[in-house]
Amino acid sequence: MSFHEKSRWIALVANLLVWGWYFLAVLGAVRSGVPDTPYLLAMLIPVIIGLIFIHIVGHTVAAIMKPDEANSAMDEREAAIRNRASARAYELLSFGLVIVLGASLYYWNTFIAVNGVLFVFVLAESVRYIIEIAAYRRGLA
Amino acid sequence: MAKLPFTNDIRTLRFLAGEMTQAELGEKIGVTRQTIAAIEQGKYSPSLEAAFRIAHIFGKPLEEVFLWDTESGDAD
Repeated sequence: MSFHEKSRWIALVANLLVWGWYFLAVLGAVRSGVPDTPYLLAMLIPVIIGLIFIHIVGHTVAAIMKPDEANSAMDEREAAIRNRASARAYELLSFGLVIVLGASLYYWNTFIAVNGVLFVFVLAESVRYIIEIAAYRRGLA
Repeated sequence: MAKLPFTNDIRTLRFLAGEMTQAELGEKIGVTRQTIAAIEQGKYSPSLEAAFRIAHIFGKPLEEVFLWDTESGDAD
């Protein structure tokens, strides 16, 4: 497994663990009454710290395992994989944002709308990582 | 995954070139070992530039390294 593929696994695991925890907590908070903006900001601090921590530890370990690849630029296959995955993720992001904007106009308050946008971003990023990992595993023919 | 309409003889050519490793070939043309492995297995269609570079390394014309598959390819 190349360093860049490991990097995608690390990013995917970080997304699922940290944002998964965040959205479960937000869901619980919404069910017991809609929280306010300070609650949202307080929740985002551990999210940012968690993401940074997992990325630093994960990439450090990956770099130790393959030090010669750690600073290498993507080659043409890796760039093609990234481009294909980014295109699919962009389609999902666009579609998701339209849904969130529409729902926000008629049904959602600001707190839920902001979290809806966050969720779409996280979902699109996670799908991008999954498509990249699948392409690394199955090929890009 | 779609099957590529061509095959290649890179594995054989590496063997004939002093058992060159995938990593060595990759280093010579500026791609990773994994990309050479993907090309050999027909999981990745290399750019024209990379294909020419591979052929150049082995001192062969392009059509002796990459072979059009008349069964799966559409071209006449």
